[in-house]
Amino acid sequence: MSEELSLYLHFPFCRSKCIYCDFNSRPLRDGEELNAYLAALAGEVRRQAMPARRVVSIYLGGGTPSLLGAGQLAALLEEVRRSFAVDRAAEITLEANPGTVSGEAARAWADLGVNRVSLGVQAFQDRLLALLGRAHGVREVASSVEALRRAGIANLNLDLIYQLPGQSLEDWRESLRRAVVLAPEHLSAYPLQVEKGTPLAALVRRGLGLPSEEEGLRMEQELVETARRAGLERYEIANFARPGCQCRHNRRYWERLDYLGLGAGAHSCIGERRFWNVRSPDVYTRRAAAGKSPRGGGERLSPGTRRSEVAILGLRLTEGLSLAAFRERCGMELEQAFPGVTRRLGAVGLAVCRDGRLRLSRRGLSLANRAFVEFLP
Amino acid sequence: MIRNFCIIAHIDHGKSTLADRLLERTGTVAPRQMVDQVLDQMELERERGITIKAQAVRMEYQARDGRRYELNLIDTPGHVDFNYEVSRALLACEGALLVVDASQGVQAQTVANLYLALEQGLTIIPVINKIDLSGADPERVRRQLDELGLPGEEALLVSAKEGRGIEEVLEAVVERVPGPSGNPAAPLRALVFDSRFDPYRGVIPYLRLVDGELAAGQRVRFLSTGREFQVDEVGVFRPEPRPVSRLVAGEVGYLAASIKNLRDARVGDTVAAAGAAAQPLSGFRPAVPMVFAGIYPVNADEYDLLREALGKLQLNDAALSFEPETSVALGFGFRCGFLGLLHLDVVQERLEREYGLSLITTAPSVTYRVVAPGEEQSEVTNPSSLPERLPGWSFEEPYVAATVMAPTAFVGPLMELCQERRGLFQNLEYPDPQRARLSYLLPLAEIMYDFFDQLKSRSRGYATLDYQLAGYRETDLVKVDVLLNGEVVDALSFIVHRDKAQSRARQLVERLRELIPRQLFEVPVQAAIGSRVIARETVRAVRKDVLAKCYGGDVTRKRKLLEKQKEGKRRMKQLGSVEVPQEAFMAVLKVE
Repeated sequence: MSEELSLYLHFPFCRSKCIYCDFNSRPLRDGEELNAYLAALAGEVRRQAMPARRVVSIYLGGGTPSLLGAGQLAALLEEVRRSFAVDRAAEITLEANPGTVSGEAARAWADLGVNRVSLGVQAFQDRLLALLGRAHGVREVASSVEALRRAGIANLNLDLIYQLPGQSLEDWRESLRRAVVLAPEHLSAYPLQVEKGTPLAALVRRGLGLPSEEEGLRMEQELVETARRAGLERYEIANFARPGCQCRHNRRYWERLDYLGLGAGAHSCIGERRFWNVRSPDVYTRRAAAGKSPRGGGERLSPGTRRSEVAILGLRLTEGLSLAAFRERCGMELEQAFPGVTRRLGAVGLAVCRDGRLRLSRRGLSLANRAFVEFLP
Repeated sequence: MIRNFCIIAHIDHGKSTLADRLLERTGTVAPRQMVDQVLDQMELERERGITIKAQAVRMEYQARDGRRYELNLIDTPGHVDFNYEVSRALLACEGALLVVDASQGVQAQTVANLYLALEQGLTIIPVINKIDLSGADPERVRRQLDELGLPGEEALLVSAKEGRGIEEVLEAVVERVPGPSGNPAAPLRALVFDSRFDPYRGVIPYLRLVDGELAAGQRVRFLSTGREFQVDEVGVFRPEPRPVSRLVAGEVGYLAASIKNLRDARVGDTVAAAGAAAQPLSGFRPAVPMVFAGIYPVNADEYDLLREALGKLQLNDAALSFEPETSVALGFGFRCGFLGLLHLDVVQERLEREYGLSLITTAPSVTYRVVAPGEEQSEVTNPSSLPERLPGWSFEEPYVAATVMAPTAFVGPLMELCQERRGLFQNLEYPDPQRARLSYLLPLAEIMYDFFDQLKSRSRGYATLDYQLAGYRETDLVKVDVLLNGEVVDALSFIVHRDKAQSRARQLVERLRELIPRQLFEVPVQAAIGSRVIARETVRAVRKDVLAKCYGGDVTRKRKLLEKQKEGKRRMKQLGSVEVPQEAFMAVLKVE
C-alpha cells in the first residue's frame, strides 16, 4: 500500500443550483447551517487522522467552496495539517466560480497554501450562462483570472461545457478562443450530460433541443485542435494541460492510488476498499453531531472488479494503459484477464496497442464507453 | 349424487365471476379467502383476466330436495385461441351453463361454444348474467336464445357480481343436468382431460372416471403408451388439491403416481387397471397448431433448458408443438406451433417468467404449401425455407372461414377491412334487425397479426370473430429476405402476397432502423425478393459515447453505469458484427 495519500474535501453548497447539475450541492440556507457543516467536516478530518500518511494533494470541491470565508478555510486546512502529514509541495486545489473571486480572497487563498484554482467558467456567452442558471456572467471571468494571477496562483484550470442547448459551433469556438487567451495551465471540457431528475432533463423532455451528435463531434474536434495550438496537451478524455501541469489529484483517481474523501457524499479509495459518506449534508451534519459515523456505504473490490478498474481508468489517460503496470498490479497479463479484447478493439479502430501500452485512438476517446464495456468482468 | 358441468361463455361475459360465486355459495371457499377469480390460478391468467387452462373443482351442495350433491365444475378458457381446451373440458361434463351478458347479448363465441357443447350432447342451461347493468335487456337476450333453438324463457337471470340468482343456478344444475351414467362395478376407465406438472410429485393427470373405481395403492395403465404406475394418491380439487380415499365412476379428480416422464401421461389418454383389457375412450379432437414461430435462446447454453421447459409446457398444453430447427442467424432453437398469437404470447411469457429464459421469437408464420408437378406437396412453416418458385409450381396458403358478428351500422367498415385483407366474400345475413353476420374466406396469415384489433377498432369494440380452418388456396406468394450489413438474416425472412410485398418491406426496414441500436459502423438494412432490393434504410454509425465527467472520485457510479450499458448489450443477439435486439425479430408483426 502506498504511503502517499490524497484528500478530497467536499463543500456541498452553492449560491444557486444550475439546471444541469446532479452533483451533491444545493443553495445554502444560512450561516448556522454552514457552521454546523464545517464543524462536522472538521470532526471527520480529526477522526480519520493518519498522521503518518504523506498527503500529496488536497482538492476542495463542491458545490462552490470559494464561498467559504478566509477564516473558515484557514481553520479547515489547519485541521487537515494537524491530522495528516501534508507535503510541502502538495498540490492544493480550490474550486471557484467567477464572481466569488475577489483580490482579497485570492490573496488569502494563496497565503493558506492553495496553489491551484479550478474556475467554473462553462461558457463565454451570457445567454448560455443564464440558461444554465449560472450565478455569474462572462465579464466576471477575466477579473477573476486577473485576481488569481495577481495573488500568485500559477496553476489555473478553466472548466468548460459544450453541446449546450442553443449553443452553436461558432459559440463554442468563441468560448475556446477566449479561454485560451486567458492562458490557463489546464483546461477541462465536458460535453453536457442530461442527468435524470435535473431541471434540464425536464426541459429536454418538454422539447428543449440539444446539438446533435454530429455537432457534438465537431465541437470536440474544435476543442482538441484549439487546445493543441495553445500548448495544452490532451492527457485524459476531457482534460488538457501544459507540460508539467496535469492535475496530480485527478490523476490519482485514474491510477487508482489511495484517496480519502471527507464531507457529505465524498468517495474514498483505500487499497481494495471503496467507501463513501451519506450524500445529504443534513444527514451528514446530524450524524456528526450525534457522534455517529457518516459512512453511507462501501465495497471491497473483487480481483475481477479491480482488474476492470485498472484497465478502464488507465485507458482514460491518453498515455494509455501500460501492460507491464497492469501485470504488476493485477498479477496477470491483460490478455489473460480480457482475452481477445485488445485485438477486437484494434479491429474496430477504438484502440491501438504499441510499445507496451494500450491506448484509445482519437475515435476511441469519443466512443470510450464502447471500449470500456469490453473490460467489465 | 354427482353433477358434472362446465361454464361456457363469450369472453368477458362473466364466466369466472359466476364460478367464484358458486364456490362461495357452496362454502367451497370462504368469502374472506376469496381472491377474485379463484379458478384462474396462473399469475398470468389473473393479470390478463383470461383463462388459459381448464380447471376443475368439487363443490358440495345441499339441494332443496333435501339431498346432498357433489358438483364438479370444470372452468374452461374463453379466448378464440383456446377452443381446443373447451372441447377437452366438455367431454368430462354432462351439462353446461351458457352464460350470456345481458347487455351485449349473444356473440359469435357464445354460438361457437354452444355448438361445441351440443356436439358433445351436453344439456344446456342458459344463464343471463350482468342483469344489474343499466344497459341490461334480458328480454332481447331471451329472444336471441330462442333463435338459437334454446328455451329462452327458462334462462336464469343472474348478477354474479352482486351474487343474485346464484342459488337458482345451483338448483338448475341439480335438476336439469343428468347424473353421470358410468358403471362403478365395471373395470376402471378414466379420461385424462388435462394435466399439470408438479415439480415435487411429477405429472398430475386430471381425470374424469367413466367406469369403475380408483384408489391409492392401485396399479394403473395408460393405454396409449402401455406404461404402468403405482398410484400414490387420488384426490379432488376444492379448489386446492385434497386427497380422498377413492374416486368412483362419474367423479372428477386427479391421481399422483410419481410419473416423471412427460410423455407417459398424455392428455386424451385413457387410464385403466394394470393388466386388464380395456377399450380406450375416444372423442378428443386433436388440437391443431395454426401458426408457427421459431423460439431461440439468446444464450446458446440455454438450449437444453428451453427444450425441457417446452416439454413441460406441452404437458399442460396439447396444442403446443415443437421441433428442433436451426437458423444461420440464431443458432439452435425450435419451430413451435400455436393456436394463435395469444397462445404464442402466453407460451413465450411463461417460458421467460417460469423458467427464467431469455428468448428470441421470430415472426409467426402459417404453414404454406408448395405444389410441384409430379411431386408430393411439401409444407413450409419457416419462411426462410420457401424455395424459389419454378415454372409449373404453385404456392398455397391456408384460408379460414371467418364469421364476424356486429351491429348493422358497422357492416361497411368491416367489409372494407376484410377486402383489404384479401378476403373472399361469402355471405351477409341479418339474424335480427340490429345484427349482421358477415362471412368471409380470409387467408389465415392476414388475420394472424392485428386483424382482431382492427375489427374491434372499426366497430367500436362491438364486432366479434370466430373462425375455423377452411383448406388451402393457391395465391401469389413471395418470400422477402432481410439483409443486415449485406447479409441475409434468415430469421427475419417473411412470406407475403406479392401485391403487399413492397409496402410491407418498406415498413419493416423502417421499423428495423428504429429498433437496431447504432453500432460502431453504418448498418444498411435492406429487404429483397431474390436479388432485387425493394426497400432500404441505414442505421447510422454511433460517433460519440463517453461519460466524460468523473466527479470527486466516484468510480463506483461510473462502473455501475457501464455495467448497465453492458447488460443492455447482453440482451442483444449478435448477428455477424451487428447487434440486434429481441424485438427486431417480431418487427414484422408491427407493420400493417
